Amino acid sequence: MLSVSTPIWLIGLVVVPVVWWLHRLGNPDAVTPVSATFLFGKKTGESDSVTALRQTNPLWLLRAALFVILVLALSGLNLGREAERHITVWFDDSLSMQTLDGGQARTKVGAIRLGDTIDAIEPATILLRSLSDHGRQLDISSLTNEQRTAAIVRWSDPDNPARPQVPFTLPRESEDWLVSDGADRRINTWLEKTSITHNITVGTETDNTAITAITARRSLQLDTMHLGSVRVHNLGLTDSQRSLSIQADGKLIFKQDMVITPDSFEYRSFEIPVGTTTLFADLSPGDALGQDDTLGINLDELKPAIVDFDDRCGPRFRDALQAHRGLVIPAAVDRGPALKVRCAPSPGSSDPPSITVHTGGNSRPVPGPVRWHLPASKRYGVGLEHSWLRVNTNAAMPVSDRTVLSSAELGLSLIELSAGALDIFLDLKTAPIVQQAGFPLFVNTLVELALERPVLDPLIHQTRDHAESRISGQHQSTGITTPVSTRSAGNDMTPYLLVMAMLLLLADIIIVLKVGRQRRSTPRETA
Amino acid sequence: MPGRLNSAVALSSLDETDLRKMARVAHLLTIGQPAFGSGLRPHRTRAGQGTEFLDFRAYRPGEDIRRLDWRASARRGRPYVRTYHDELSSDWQLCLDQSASMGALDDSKWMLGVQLAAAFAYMLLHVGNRVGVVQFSKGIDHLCPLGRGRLQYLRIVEQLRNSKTDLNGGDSNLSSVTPVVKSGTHLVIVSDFLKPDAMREDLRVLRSPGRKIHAVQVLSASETSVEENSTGLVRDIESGELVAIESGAGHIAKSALERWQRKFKDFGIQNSIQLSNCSSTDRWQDVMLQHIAQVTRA
Repeated sequence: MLSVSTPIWLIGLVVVPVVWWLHRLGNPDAVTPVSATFLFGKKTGESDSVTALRQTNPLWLLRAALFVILVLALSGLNLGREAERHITVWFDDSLSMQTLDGGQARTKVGAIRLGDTIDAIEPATILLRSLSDHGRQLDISSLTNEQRTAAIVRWSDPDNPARPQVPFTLPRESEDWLVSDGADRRINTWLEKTSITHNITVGTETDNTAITAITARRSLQLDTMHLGSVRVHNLGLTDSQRSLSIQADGKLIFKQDMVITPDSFEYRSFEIPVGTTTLFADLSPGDALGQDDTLGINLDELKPAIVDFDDRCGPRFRDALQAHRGLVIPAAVDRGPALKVRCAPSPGSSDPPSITVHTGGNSRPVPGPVRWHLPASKRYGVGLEHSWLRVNTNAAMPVSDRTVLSSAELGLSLIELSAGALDIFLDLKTAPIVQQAGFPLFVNTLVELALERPVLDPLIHQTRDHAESRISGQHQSTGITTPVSTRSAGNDMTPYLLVMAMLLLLADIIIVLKVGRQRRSTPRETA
Repeated sequence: MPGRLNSAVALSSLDETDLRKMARVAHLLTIGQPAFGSGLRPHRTRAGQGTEFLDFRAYRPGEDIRRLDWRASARRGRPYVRTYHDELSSDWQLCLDQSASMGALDDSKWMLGVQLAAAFAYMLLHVGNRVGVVQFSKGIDHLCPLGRGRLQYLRIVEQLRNSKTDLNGGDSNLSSVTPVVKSGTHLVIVSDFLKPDAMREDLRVLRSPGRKIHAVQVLSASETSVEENSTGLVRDIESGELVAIESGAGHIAKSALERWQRKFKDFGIQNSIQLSNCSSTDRWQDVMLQHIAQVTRA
C-alpha cells in the first residue's frame, strides 16, 4: 500500500510536460545552421520540419523520470500502513500567554489551534508538557476537542504563570511540538537549534506596559511619612500613555499620567502615610495583558515592632531598645509582642522570637579576641573589643553549631541562636560595652538576629521580571503556524528514491559526456 | 561585438607595404594599360568621360544621346555612338556583402571580404580614381560616398572597421545598391553570391554600357559541412528556411556547389564580368593577384 505524507508536493508532477517541451524545443543538434540550404536539396514542408524537430533528445525521458522521483521523495512516499504518531507538546505557560488577543487569552487560542491540528492528524498519544515546569504534564489523547481546550486552559494555571525554561533534551520516542507566542528570547533561540517539528505561534498584540517594581522604606527626615517608588516599564513597540495610581489602604495617595517610550522604564516616587498596611499600584487604562498592570506590597514590616522588655535586663539595654526607630516598648503589652526580651539565670525555653539574657552567677572579663560565627553580611558592621565584654561563665555553653559569638580562649559561646531564640551569656548591665557609642547598633544586631529580618531600615519591595511582560514575538511571525509534517516513521521510501535519482543523474551525466566526446572526435565533412 | 572585433583584426593585418606593392599593378584593374609616366604616381591628364576616340558601335537604349555620331548613324542607317578609351581616372563603387552568410558561421569569410574591400580601395585610389564603398545585406547598411585620395582611404577603412555582419536573418540583395551607383561608375563586388541564382538577376540590373564589374566570390569550407551521418534539418542562416537532410548530405551539397559555381562562372564570361573566386582561408594578396591575373588574361 503506497501513501504519501505531504501530497501537496505531487502538484510538481504537472511540470513533467514542461520537461518534455523544453527538450522538444531546445535540442540544438536537431537543426544545423548553414549559409545556403539550396545546396542541400529541396525545401522541406512545415510538417516535415516539425516531424524532424520532434525527433528530440530521448534523454528527456530520463530527466522526466529523475524529476518524478524527486517529487515523490519530497512528497514522502511510504510503503505500507502509516505508523502511529506520538506527540509531545511543549506548552508555553508564561505570563505573556495570558495576553488577550481579540478577547481570548493566548493560552486558549493556542489550545484551540492545537486541538484543530490534532484533529487533522489523529495521533496515537498526545502529551502536554509545561515549559516552565517540565515535570508538569497533561495527557489529552482521549479528550474531545472541546474538552481538550478546557483542560489545557485549566492546566496552564493562569494565576501562577512562571517564566519558561528551555528543556535540555527532548524525548526521542515522540515528535515534539511547541505552542508559544514567541515572546521569550530564550525559547526562540532554543527553537532554532532543537528538533521541534511543528510550531504553533499565537498572538498578535505587541503593546504592553507593566509595573515591574514597587518599594517602600522609612523616611530619614519625616516621622509621619514613608517613602515609596514604582517602576513602570513599556515593553511594547509604540509609546505608552498610562495613568499611574497609588492607593494606601484603599485610599488614593498619588496619581500621575505618564508617557513612556518603547523598551524603556520610568520611576515615580511618592510619600506614604505612616501606619499604612497595604500599598497598591495600578495602571489605567488596561492593556492586553492585565496581570502586570497592578502590583502591591504589605507594609507591616515598616511599623515599629512591639517589644516586651524585662526590666531586669538593665537600663542601658532598655535605652538602646527604646532609641531604636523600628522598636517600641509599650508600658503595658496588651497584644502579642513581636519580640520578648527576658532575663533568666540559666538557659531555658522561650517562645521565639525572643532574646534571653542569662544573668545568673558571676561574670568575668573575656580574656581574648571574640569571634563572630555569622556571615559578614549579618554582622552589621559591629566590631567588638573583648575588653568591653564580660561573660557569665556559669551559664555559658560550649561552642556549638548554634554559636553566634564565641571566645576562643574560653572555648565558650557568648551568644547562641536557635530558631529565633537568641541566648546571650554576656553581662549587659555593667560591662564596658554598655558605655560604648556602638552599643545601640550591637543591640540592633541582636534584635535583627532574633527577628530574622532588618528592623532598623527595612526596604520592602515587590518586583516582577520585565522580560515576562514582553508580549511581542521576538523573531517569529506572530500568528503563524508551521505546516504539519504528516510523514510517518516506518517504511519511508525517500532514501531509496534519492538513491534512484542519483543513479539516474549519474547515467545522464555519463551519456552527455559520451555523446560530447563522440561529437568532438567525429570529423566534419567539408565541401 | 565579435563581428566588429573581427573587422578590426582583419584590417590590422593589412600591411601598407604589401598594399603599396600591390598598387603597382593596380592599373591593370582599370584600363589594361600602364598608368605611370615617368614617376611612381599616376597622372590624370583628362577629366570626366574620355575624349580619345576608339571606335563606333551600335547605340543601346538608355545611353546618353550626346554620344551619338550623327554622321556615322546617317551613313549606316542606324544610330551609332562613338566609343573612347577609358580615362585613367574614373569612379569605382566597392560593394561588400554584409549579410549573415558572410560572417555568422565562419568569421574568415567576413575578414577576407573586409581585407579585399580595403585592398581594392587602396589600389584604385592609388591610381587616382574616385572610390566609394557600399555595404549591403537586404538593403544598404553603410555607405561611404565617392572620394579621392588618402583621406578617402582612411574613411573607408574606418567604415569597414566599424562594420559587422548580422548574426541571423537578413538577405543578400545586391540590387539594393542600384540607387547609389551612378552611370559610368564601375563596380567591385565582394560577396559569397550564395543565392540559388547567384545574384545573376541583380548583376543584370547593374550591368550597363561601359561599366566594368569585378566580382570576387569568397566561400568557406563550412558552406557544405554538416556532421557526418547526421540526420535532421539544416536551416538557412539568412532566410530561416529548413531543409531535411540525411546521411551523406555533405557530399550532395559539395557536388551541388561545384555545379552552381560552374554556372556562375559561365554567366560571368557571357556578361563580361571579371569573376574570380577564392577560399576564405586564402591570403588577400593571393586573391588580389589571382584576380588581376584573370583580368589581364581576359
